[in-house]
Amino acid sequence: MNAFFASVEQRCNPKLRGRPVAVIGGGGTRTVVTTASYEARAWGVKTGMTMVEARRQCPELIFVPANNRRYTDTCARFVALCSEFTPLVEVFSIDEVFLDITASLRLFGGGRRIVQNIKQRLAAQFGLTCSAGIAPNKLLAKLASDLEKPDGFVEIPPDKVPAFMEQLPVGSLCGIGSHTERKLALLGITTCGELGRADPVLLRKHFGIVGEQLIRMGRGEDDSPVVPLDQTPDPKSIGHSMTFDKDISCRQTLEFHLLRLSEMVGRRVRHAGFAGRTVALTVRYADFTTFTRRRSVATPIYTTRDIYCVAKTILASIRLQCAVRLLGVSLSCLTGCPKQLELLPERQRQQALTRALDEVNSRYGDFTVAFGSLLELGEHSGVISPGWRPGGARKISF
Amino acid sequence: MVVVLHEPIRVGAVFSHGTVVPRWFLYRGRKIPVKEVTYTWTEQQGRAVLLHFSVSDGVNLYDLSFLPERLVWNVEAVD
Repeated sequence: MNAFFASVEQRCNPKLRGRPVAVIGGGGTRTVVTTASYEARAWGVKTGMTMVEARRQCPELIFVPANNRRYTDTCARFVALCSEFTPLVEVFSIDEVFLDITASLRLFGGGRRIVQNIKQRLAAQFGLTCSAGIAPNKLLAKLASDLEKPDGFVEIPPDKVPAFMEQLPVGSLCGIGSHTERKLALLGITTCGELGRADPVLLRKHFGIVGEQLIRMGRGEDDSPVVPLDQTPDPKSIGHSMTFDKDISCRQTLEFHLLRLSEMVGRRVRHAGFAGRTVALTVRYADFTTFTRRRSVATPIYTTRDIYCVAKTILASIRLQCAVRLLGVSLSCLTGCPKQLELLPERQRQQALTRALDEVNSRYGDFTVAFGSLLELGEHSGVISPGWRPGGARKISF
Repeated sequence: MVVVLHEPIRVGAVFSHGTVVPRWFLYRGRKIPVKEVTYTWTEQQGRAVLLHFSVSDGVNLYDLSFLPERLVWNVEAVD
């Protein structure tokens, strides 16, 4: 979908239509532009700019705080729309999906008809536009969809792939970032045609096992399947992080935030039926120095209290060099939640308490019943992680 | 400027073919016509699903919410 967050806001508010709009995260002073409308992009406003930078580019710019519920719900409904054409729908990000329409072509009258149908319904139901690409694989389909924006459609037939790739800059390919592009340029490789003909030994020497993969990408080859939501592999870890409105030096305040993060992680871990053995704590200082410390325990844990105790131990072991800008907690080495009943009465009570809290919060919403020490922290709006998905363990409610 | 309200309101709405469309609402003694439903979205609150309607009376933009479980309407915010 094109300029997704900004387009949703322009649909919501008629006064924003046709005007330069930048959606900003959080609402605090250190927020950045998450999406700019096409009108704002024309002025040079880009994702990641601070509000001051964006305003400098476009004095008329209208800042709109992000409304994550609108975007996540729209994404879920868009995926449902796409699922009417094929069960093979992979959610690539909150505004991008891959559809394997191989088996649907005859049923719906061909790929072009499917794209037209989806575009029409997206416009009718949501008032939004999207850019689509049809190609023999995901790499090329993504490339094709990026070629015409907004509201574009590009098809790359299989027999046209070599000619299409020949003069294409390597940086156009999804997965080749500016760093790899620079390294390739030093080897005299700037186009996909050159990349596809490159010496595998040379690329392996400079890029390791990825070298041969790069050559296949240069030829427009990609055999990765479209993975629907219900077949998405289990996550390797479940975590949350939080950038504070103000840098925090007080350890007690940091511990309160740690408790909230532990509860968020614990809720998702328990909801997904996992337990984990390794807790990781990520700290980012005010000067952006970032590091992660891990601690493993003997048996898998899943209660908020257990996750918090380990995270708190890690925090206690860190001599803080300056105020903290961001904290993150994650649980990894995930296994299925243990079925073994607790033997010790204290542990049994903890388990029963966790179960009771989860039942209340599942019925009435997260943090309906919460630890008293969290009350003073106030609400935190949060941002949508790139790993967010409309279902499964990667779904986070806002 | 968005003003958060979260106030209960009375709403005239059309229920048809599994959808609900607000037509007018009474807010602080005034009957406000809904000239355009600009966007709709849902919000999960525990097991309950809250339906949101971004509506315009031609001047202001309102965020109305409807909780089907309890048949309750609120005006959540006005811009």
